[in-house]
Amino acid sequence: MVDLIACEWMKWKRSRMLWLMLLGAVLPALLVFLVELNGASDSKSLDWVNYFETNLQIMAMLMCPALFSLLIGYLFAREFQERTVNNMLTGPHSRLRVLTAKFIIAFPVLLAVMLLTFLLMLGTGFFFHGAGDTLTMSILGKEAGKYALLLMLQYALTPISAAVALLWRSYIPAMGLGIFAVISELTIMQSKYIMYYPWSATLNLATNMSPGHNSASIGYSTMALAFVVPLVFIAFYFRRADVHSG
Amino acid sequence: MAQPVLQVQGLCKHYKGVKAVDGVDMQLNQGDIYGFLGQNGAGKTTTIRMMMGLIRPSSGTVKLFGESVGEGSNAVLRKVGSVIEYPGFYPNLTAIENLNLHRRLMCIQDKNAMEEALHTTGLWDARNRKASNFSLGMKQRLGIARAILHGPELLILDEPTNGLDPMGIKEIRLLIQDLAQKRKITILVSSHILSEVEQLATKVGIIHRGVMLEESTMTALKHKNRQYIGLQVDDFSKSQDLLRDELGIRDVRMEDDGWLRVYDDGQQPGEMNRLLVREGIEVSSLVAMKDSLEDYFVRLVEGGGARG
Repeated sequence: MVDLIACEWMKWKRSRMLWLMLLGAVLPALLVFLVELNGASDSKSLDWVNYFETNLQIMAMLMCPALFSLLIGYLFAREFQERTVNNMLTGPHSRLRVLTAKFIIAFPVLLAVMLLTFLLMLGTGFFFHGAGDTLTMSILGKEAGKYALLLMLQYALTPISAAVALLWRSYIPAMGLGIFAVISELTIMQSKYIMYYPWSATLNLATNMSPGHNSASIGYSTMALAFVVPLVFIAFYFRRADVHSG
Repeated sequence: MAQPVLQVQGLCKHYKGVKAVDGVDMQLNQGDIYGFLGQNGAGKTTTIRMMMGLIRPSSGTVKLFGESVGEGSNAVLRKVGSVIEYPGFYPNLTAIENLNLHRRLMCIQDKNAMEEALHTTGLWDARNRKASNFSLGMKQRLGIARAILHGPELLILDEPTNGLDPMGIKEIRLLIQDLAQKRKITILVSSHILSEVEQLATKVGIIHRGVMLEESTMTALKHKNRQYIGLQVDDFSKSQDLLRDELGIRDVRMEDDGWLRVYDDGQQPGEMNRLLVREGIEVSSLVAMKDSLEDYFVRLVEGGGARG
């Protein structure tokens, strides 16, 4: 298993997706930084909570659903598109182990984006007046916890993107899913069904944008289903699927 | 008797009523270079994919080194190297990085295996070039390097010369022969190019429309290539009738190449000549000839089965 995980890790070397990951972390942080810069004055200290959470909202609402779906689609479908799937599946490892290694490596991929954007917020915050005085360990810990929660919730959505990528054997449909997720989430977040839809539930659980409909039990149940159902589907489907391409 | 390296029995694959592979039997023994011959779409790749566990057979069995291929039997694949259809690589990685990845995949500790495989395939100097910058011929060789990296006992190469120029084809052929001789690897090579198989194989299996028409050693196959008398005459139709009616020869054919071919045991060229001349037919040529393997293949495929 360690060898398989190492293989998955090695595949990311010099990958063009690394640039996307960088962009995905930098763009929202840069946007929030510029907005803050525009309203900055010497008489007002930086509101760290607001600074961190504006970025968190952009990540949760726009960047994560689209970018992470693309990254996960790429992770799972690249073997078909680069025609390396024959080689992957004719090694001494079962298909389930191959899938498991991919799900394991998906975590540091998503983590890298979230960690980078968090650190960028932390670093750029010190550019503003009074930032050193207003940042407390309590704020830092609380905000880091929110970013970590968003990361976990986004990770729970990876089996959906993986299933789409494996079914179509291409990361393009996964990318389409990401765009669809953003549009649909923005629509549903205004309704009372916000916690029943995985992407909007993620948004509300992480950012509490709709406090009136923020039932944690419904939200986490939705996320659990969103994680388990496609995962089980993939396990059955991929174990038995014929591999013709590659 | 030693256990077969690969044994395929009654292998079938049906897609919505279409029989892609229909009851294929094959056997590879230690040291064989097996030429798996068939036209495009004959079922070669589907059969190979079933051998490697990529496609689930509708029925039949595949045994590698005595172990059934299927769920939970992946360990045996450590003894097999393969290049199926197209050698795919991670384009962002160099040749040696691609091999290193495969080394980890196959759980091989020895890093020298990569160097050896690159030297064997003549790619050592290109080791630090990205795989995406390789020509098709280099990719085929890198595919073979990857396939032999873990020291397999069986090497399966599906159309390894597809898309290559004559020099590339020759290089791959020499490489395969070298691997068989020096590393004592049992090799299965699929191809639709008969001359390629003829120069390489010690054993041949001919598949057509999913059915294995014949499996025999190359020596036996060459023996089977029938001798015939080739005639060039000014009246084909009359000559054909005369040979049938007067001499009782059943297998007389007019071929597109302008020769009248007489396939029959105990042919009597002198007698044929006398008969035709006596009946006023001008015989401009009469020679004893032998079918090429290509002729045999065409006859086999057109006939849908083996003939004496």
